[in-house]
Amino acid sequence: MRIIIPLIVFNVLYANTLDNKNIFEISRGNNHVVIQKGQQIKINDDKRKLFFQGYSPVSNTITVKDISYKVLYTKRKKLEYSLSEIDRIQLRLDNTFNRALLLWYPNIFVHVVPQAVIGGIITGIAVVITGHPNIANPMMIYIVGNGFINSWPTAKKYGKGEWLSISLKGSNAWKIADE
Amino acid sequence: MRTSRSLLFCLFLTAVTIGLVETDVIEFQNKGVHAQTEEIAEILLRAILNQVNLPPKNTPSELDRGQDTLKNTSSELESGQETLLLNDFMLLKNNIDGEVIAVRPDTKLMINEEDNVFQFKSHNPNENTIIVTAGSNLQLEYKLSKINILKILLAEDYLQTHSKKTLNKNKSGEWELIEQQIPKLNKKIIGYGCVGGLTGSLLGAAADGQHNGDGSLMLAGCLMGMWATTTALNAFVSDPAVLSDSWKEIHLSQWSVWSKE
Repeated sequence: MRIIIPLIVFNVLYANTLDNKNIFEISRGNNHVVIQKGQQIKINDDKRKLFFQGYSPVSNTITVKDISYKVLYTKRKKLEYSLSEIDRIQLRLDNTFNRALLLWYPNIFVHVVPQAVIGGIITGIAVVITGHPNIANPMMIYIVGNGFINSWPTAKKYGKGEWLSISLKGSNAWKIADE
Repeated sequence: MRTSRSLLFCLFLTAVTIGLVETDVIEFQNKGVHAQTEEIAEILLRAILNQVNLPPKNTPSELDRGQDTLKNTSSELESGQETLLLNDFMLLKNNIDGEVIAVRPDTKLMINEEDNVFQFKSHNPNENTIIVTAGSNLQLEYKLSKINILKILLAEDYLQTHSKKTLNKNKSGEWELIEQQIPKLNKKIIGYGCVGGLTGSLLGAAADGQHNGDGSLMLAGCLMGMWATTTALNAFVSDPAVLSDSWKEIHLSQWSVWSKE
């Protein structure tokens, strides 16, 4: 029984992932474009830079991740868009890797410092009240970890970027490639 | 203390030198560097003129000179280069006034009413298609028969390092080589950054002197000045690619495409 329940849970989760493809392939004439997991896209006229996560041909939806820096915290949100509500997708084409490589390290400080200031004040008060200096450690580990995790994607988002507009509606629309 | 001051002085001197060179206050004789490019451009233009069988009187004197200088080179090599170059270039001729435009590789262009800015890569006369690139690694193929309007960026892209030449017919019917030289923004950014850095360092040095500091304020001032001026310049200068008057709109129904075949 102990083995069966995790197996069922795993099976259900795995079945869900089967519906979701990590790539989104579209074509027009001889041109084929593949959007892969992690690539930056913009949807319709929205200026937010989103990270493509997957495409589900069953529900005809794409999943994206919105990661944005908010000084005191980093917002991470998973969004699902139905393709019927998307007029166009803009795909980022410039090489963001090299820039992210340069910006990743200083960007950690951009994430960590504001949080550390606030966290430092809070834990400072807590240390004074409780008298346990070790109380600050989990907070600092969390802040530094958070900085490490979010620094890379936010560094990749930096810059105006070069975007390819792919219209999914109208006479000049790109078609979703069949499996 | 003396070492850190010497280091700061060297940093200063380097920043000033870079600033003077990049803002063209000090110019180097660099024609030799571009000689190869010029030669290829001459071969290409001669190939274009041979291709369209222009009468000799229409040949610009600059091209004649170019032909003379190239007489000594191997003819086999030249024909190879002509073929190579003509495969990459697209020649457009206006059916009404006879204007000729050679679309070179890396020329920025827009297709129909789409808002994508591509870079021209090559023309395939057999399939009547053009290959364009977008971003760092995407290539797209467009059928010329499906293109109504082709917009070509006339202003030199500030990030490019080569000049743009077009062969145009002037009002008196003579062919002339037009080369556009627009100040490069990246040079300006570096130049302004250096000037900003210098100003910041002077302010920092003044503050350092008052507080008997170790020169750290000078360094901080230099960095702050560089950062502030480049950010301000970026904010004020528009990208020429977005200026509508930089684009030449070509209605392909009025133009014919020349090809090697």
